Parts: sequence; C-alpha cells; structure tokens
Amino acid sequence: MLFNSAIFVFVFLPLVWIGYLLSLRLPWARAGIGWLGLASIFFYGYWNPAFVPLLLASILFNYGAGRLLDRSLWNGSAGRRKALLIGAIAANLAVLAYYKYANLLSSSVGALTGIATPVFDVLLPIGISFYTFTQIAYLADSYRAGKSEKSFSAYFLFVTFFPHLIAGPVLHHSEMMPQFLRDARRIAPAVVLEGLLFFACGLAKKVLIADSVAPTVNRVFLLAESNALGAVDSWFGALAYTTQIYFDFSGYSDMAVGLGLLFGIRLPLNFNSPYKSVSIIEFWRRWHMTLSRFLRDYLYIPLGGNRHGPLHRQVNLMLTMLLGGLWHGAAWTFVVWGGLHGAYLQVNHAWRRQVERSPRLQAGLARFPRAASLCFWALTFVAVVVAWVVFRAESFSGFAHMLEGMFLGSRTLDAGLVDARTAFYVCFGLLLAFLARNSQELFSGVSVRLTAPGGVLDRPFFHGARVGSLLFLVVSLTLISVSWGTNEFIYFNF
Amino acid sequence: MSSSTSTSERAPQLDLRRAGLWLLGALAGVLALLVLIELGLELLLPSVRGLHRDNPSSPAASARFVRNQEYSFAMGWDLRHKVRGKTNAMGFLSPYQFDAVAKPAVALFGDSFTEGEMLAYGESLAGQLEAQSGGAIVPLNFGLSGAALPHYLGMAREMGARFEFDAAVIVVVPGDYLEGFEEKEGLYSWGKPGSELISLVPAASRSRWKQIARESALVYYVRGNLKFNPATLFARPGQKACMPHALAAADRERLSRYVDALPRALRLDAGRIVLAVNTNTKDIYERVDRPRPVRDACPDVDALALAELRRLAAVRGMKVVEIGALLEQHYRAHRRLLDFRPVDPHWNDIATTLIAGGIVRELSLAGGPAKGRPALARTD
Repeated sequence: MLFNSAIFVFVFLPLVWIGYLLSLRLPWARAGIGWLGLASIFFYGYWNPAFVPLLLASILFNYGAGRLLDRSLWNGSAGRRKALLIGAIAANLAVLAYYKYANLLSSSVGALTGIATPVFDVLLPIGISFYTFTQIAYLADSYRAGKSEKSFSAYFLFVTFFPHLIAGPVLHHSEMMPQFLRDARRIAPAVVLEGLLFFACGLAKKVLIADSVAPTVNRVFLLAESNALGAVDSWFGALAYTTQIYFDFSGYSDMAVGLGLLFGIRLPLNFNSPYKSVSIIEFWRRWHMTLSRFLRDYLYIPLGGNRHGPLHRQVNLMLTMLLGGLWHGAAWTFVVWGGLHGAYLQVNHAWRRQVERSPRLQAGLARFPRAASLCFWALTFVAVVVAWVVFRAESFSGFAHMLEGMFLGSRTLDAGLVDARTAFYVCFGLLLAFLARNSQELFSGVSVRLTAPGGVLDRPFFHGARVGSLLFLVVSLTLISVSWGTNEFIYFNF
Repeated sequence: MSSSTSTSERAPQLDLRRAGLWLLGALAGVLALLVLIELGLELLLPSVRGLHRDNPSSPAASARFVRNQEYSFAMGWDLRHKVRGKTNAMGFLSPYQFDAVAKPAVALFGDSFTEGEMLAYGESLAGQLEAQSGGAIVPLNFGLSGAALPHYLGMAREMGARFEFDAAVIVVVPGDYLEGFEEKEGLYSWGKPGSELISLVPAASRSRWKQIARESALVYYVRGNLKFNPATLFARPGQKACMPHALAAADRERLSRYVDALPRALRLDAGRIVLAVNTNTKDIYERVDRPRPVRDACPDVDALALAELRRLAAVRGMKVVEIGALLEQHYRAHRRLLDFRPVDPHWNDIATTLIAGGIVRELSLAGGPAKGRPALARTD
C-alpha cells in the first residue's frame, strides 16, 4: 500500500487511527500495540500477501535470537555468544542475499566465466532491506547491551510499524521501545496537528514536485540507454533526477514522520537540507541520516573506524560506502555510486587535512569565507549530481551516454526532452532545496507553540479550521496523486 | 456541594461547546479552501471549463451540442497545454460553419482523439487533413469525446441525411467496440440482440443545481483534469492475467451489419470511406524502447472485434489506414512522443500530422485543392 494512494489515505489510515484511539481506552495496556501490529501486517500484506510469512518468520527468528543472546549472557561462554550473534546476522544476510542479490551474483559469475548461470525466479519482497537492517541493528545492540526486548508485541511493532516498514527511516531499537511501551491513553491534539503538517508537506513534495518531474527523468534515462544525448538534455535529466529523488525520498520520510506522530510516535528524522551541504562529509550527515547512522554504527565502527591509522580508515570508509551502495539495489551501478561517494569522502578528508596543515590555506579561506563556501557548495552539489546519474542509470552504457552528453555534449538524438513546465519544477524544487527551511525547521516546534497559553489549542474554532483545511489539502493532493497513476516512491525498490 | 455539582454539570457543556466550535472551524476551513480554489480556477487561471452538452429532449444526438460555445482546455493538475476555442453553429469543434461549406466535403467521425479538444485547430487531425491536402479536403469534424463505434454510425446517419459528403474518415480506437455497449447518455450504443443495430441513449435530465454543480470549475477540474473516477479510485495497480477470448457469432454479425450500414448512412461508395485504426501509443513506446522477447499475444474481445472490423471493411472495399504503423515508424526514427503522456494519452500535433498524411494518401487527394472546388470561408 502506498502512502499516496486513495486506499491508504481514505480508508486504511482513518480506520487504523480511529481504531487506535479506541484501543487506547481499553483496559489492556497492550491493546494499542496489538492493533497497530495487526494493521501493519495488513498494510504489508496488501501489496503481496505471499511475503507476509517471510516477514513473520524474520521477526520470530530475530526475537528468538535476541532472547537467546540474553540467556547466553548468563549461561554460555563469550565465544558461544559471539558465534550466536554472527550466526543470526549471517542468517539475516543470507535471506537478504537470496532475495535481493542471487541474480546479480549469478549473472556476474556468468559474465566473468562465460558459463551459463541460472536465473532465479525470485521477486524482491518489498521493504526487506529495511526490516533486515533494523533487526540486525537490534541483534548487535542486544549483544552489546546484554539486554534484549522481552515484550514480543512491542518487538513485533518495532519491526512492522507501517510508517517505517517499507522504506525506513531505519530505526534504532532504543529510541522506539520506550515510546511503544509507555502507558499512553491519548494522543495530544498538538502532536496530531504536527503529524498532519508533516504528512501534508511530504505528500506535497512527492505529488507536486517529484511526480511532476518523474516523466522527464524516466524518458531521459531511458533514451540514454541506447543514445548519446546533447549537453542540455543530459544536464536537464541529471538535475531533474536530483530534484526528483530528494523530493520523493524526503517527501516519503516526512510522511513517515507525520504518520508516526498521528499515533503519538516520534520517528527519527532522515533529512536535513542535504543540498545545502558545503562538503560531501556534511552531505552524508544530512542525507538519509538514519542509514548513515546505521552504516557508521554497525559497519564502519565495527570494521575499525578510524582507530587503526589513516590508511585503515580510508579502506574502512570505502568499504562502508561500497556496501552502502550495494544495499540500495542489486546492480553494479549502485556499487559504483557508493564507490564514487567513497572517493569523494577520501578527497574531502584529504582536503581537510591539507587545510589543517596549511596556515596559508586557512588564511586564504578566512579572507573570502562566502566565496569559499559558495565554491565548496557548488563543487559538492555537482559531485552529488554526477553520482546520482550512475545511481539512476539502468546500466553502465546509460551512465556513459549521460556523462558523454553532460561533459562532451555528444548527441545522436534530438527527442525534445526539455520542456518549460518540467524546467520550472526543477528550478523551483532546487531553489526550495537550496534556500528554504526544511520540514523539521518549519514544524518541529509547532506542538510547543500550539500548546502555549493563548495558542491555537485554546481557540477551538481556529484549531478546527487548521485541521479541516489540512485534511482538505491531504485529500486534494491524494486526488492529484491518483491522477498520475501509479507513482511508487523511489526507495520502495530498495 | 452546590458549587461542585454545578462545575461537574458545566464541564461537559463546555466540552460540547468546544467540540462544536472545533467542528464549525473544520467545516469553515474546508469551505474556505473550496471557495478559494473555485475562484482561483474561475478567475486567476484561464477557465478550465471545457465542452459540455445540453440535455434536450430531441431524439437526435447532434441536437445536444452547445452552439457557439467558448471553451478552454488544459490538462493535468497544473493546467498544462492550454487551448481556447469556440464551437461552430452546430456545436462542433471547427472554425468552419458546416452549413456554409461548399459541398461536397469529407466527414470525420471518431472520439476525443478526432474531436481534438486538446489541440488548436491547426494541430488537430481535421486541421492537419486540411493543411496536408492543400485545402482539397474540407473536414467536417463530428468527433465527440466518449463516443464509440455505434455513435459513429448514428452520427453518420444524422449527418449523412444533412450533408453530401465526398468521402468519410472513421477513426477507430482501442476500446471502441466494447465501449459501444456502455449506455452513455445522449450517445448511440449497440442495440439489443435481434433489434436495431444501434440505439440512442436518452440524455439525462438534471436539476438546475446539479447542472450548476456539474459546470463548476472545481467539479470540471476534478473530473477532467484529475480524471477522478470513483470506480477506479481504489483499483489496485498491476497487470491482469491473460484470459483467452473469442468472438461470438453475435459479435461477428453485429460488425458485419455495421460495415454494411456505414456506406448507406453516408450515401457513399465503400471505396470513399477510410477506416483509420489507432493503437495504444504506450504499446509503441514499450515495443521500441524496451524490446522484450515476444510473448504470446493475448487479445481481448475488443481487440478481436476491431481486427474483424478491419477485415470486413477491407473486404467491402473500404480503405484501411493502420495508424499504429505510421506512428511506430516515426517514433523508431526520432523518439519524439506522440501524445501528452503521462498526463494525457491523446495525440499531439506530431501524431496528427503523421495520421493526416496517411489518410490523405489513401484518399489520393494530396497535391493541392481539387479543381473547381469553391474556397471555404473560415469564421474564426
């Protein structure tokens, strides 16, 4: 079920929300958790019920593994405990590898050896990367802290909670469990309004900007598969995709945060105006923040991080980015994307070291701070745009054609790809991304302001008017979304 | 005691009042936005009100068209590709007054693709037919959005009785056979088995308020631009499994009667009738852009019926233009879109130019105006 579909907005969400409010009034403390868990499984199964057993098995397995890790802390040896953790993580990765990477591996072996390799008839279960990573993090935390989750219903909801199940944010067990387990009997109206604001803003980002540029992006990258394009067409396509992916994924993340708030749950933020970054290091602190956190805490640091000297750090960083790239999809283009960002980060770190060592450079940068920032911002943005090209390209030949068009201006095709309307959306979207305040800057303090004495909550008419107009906006945006036909979120594929 | 009682009694009243105010506020918020959008669509943006039909009691379908009606058209949520125009004195989309046309002329029947509301006249199929024939073809465009095969025949009868045609072009699109069974108000649909081949569905009579609501910019926008359809609102995306179909004897008989009835209705020899058969441009893009191993074709009843219609038309001596082939050839060479997808599937001016070229060739009328034909007076 898509967050921008009519069935979700008009049927599923209102029913689940009302049901949740009623369940909070029941005498059983866990009724709300149970209701949300059931609703989340329905949400997941609506797409393809065949994958529900896999999700349930994964939850049971990891819950059991967590409990065993707990028990072995007292009964077993440290070695046995570590083996248990490694075994459990390996099992998770094996399932992910089978569903996501089996065909990539098979075709790559075939291409390298010339042997006819089998093609596996597997369909990628939606959200598998997200729920697998969430649970691997949980196992690692349980191992470190020596304390796993005792409540199965809370653990079940932690994994399946529908606002994050399909495309994140990647949750941290410790930040969610206290929220699920608190004895809440109502949801504060201010939090609901804040949730509605986030949800409407995310839906607007998705429907009005991301979906409006998507047709041009699709055409440019499709035609680039077999043709060299002109410089204008290629840059236009690359910038359009840069706009689309930001508004699509940050729109999704805003909607997820908003949905969480509607149920009184605060999900972690995933974006913080990444295109305002003046370095790649900063970009990765602002883009898909929960994945960056996961990669840092569960891959980069366990690999050794920066603890064994600069060379090791560079290797660890590159490995982390390559695997982070591969996590996005079963194609070597994603690995190259990760590698490209790994290389950018190496250059960025080297430059920082150089600046730290050179007083002349420091003085030069301090003399023209604005110009320097502008140059760094432009350089970072172009680097990100180029990397998005390989991320979006369906093959290396498509990537090569796009680069050829962008930097050499080759052209074999004049298919009229640039249109004024899409150009407007790209410019408008990028200006918003560069200059405007982001969703959390706009809405995060709303609930505090609303509940302040004399705030809107004290004036029911105005509070009602706000909620009414927001609901109308959500309905209108959903109708626009439906008029586009099927427009999945980009990260649903990962 | 009394004070505590009065407090506990007052508390729920206070809540009720707050709840009432809240609800009132919510309604006011919705209403304010509704009015704002309606005003915005009516005043700030070009009018989005397209063509609408009257609901008269006349037994003729052509009597429903609103004469000399100014209209504008824009597609998509953001009102792109704006077109303004005015219907002629018969209510059709043409800069010509058909009654003033120096006879004979070429009749053009079809649905919204032929009507061309989303194109300026010069870009539409009718305009392109005129341009590419160097004025030799005088197209009387009877295309109508939502029409299907039975309506083309019905209009052919009505207009054939009124005008003397030199030739006729019937543009058939996928879905035209099965859609003919849908009883759309004011349009001809297939008749019941054993009765007339086609029958006119009476136009619905609406109350004044319903008509006003129907004609509001917001309602038009939601229905037209957002393509709102309650029946498909909750439809799940995905391909349907292939169900093997076959044409029934009744279908074959219906189609046979149809091709026999057309020349009679138009008072033309079959050789002066061109059947232009459209295909889905999406399929063309798929074939060219993403060549895949050929799967077994899975035609539905409609596709089988249109294939049969094509065959029968050729047997009767009508000329058949395969629009799909014309469009695919061009797309393969240039990769330029032939429509407004994904916002709207209708042809753009590239497609109408190609199709008109194919039709003109079939009519053997290219190369300038026919000798002795009086010039037409345009009324725009």
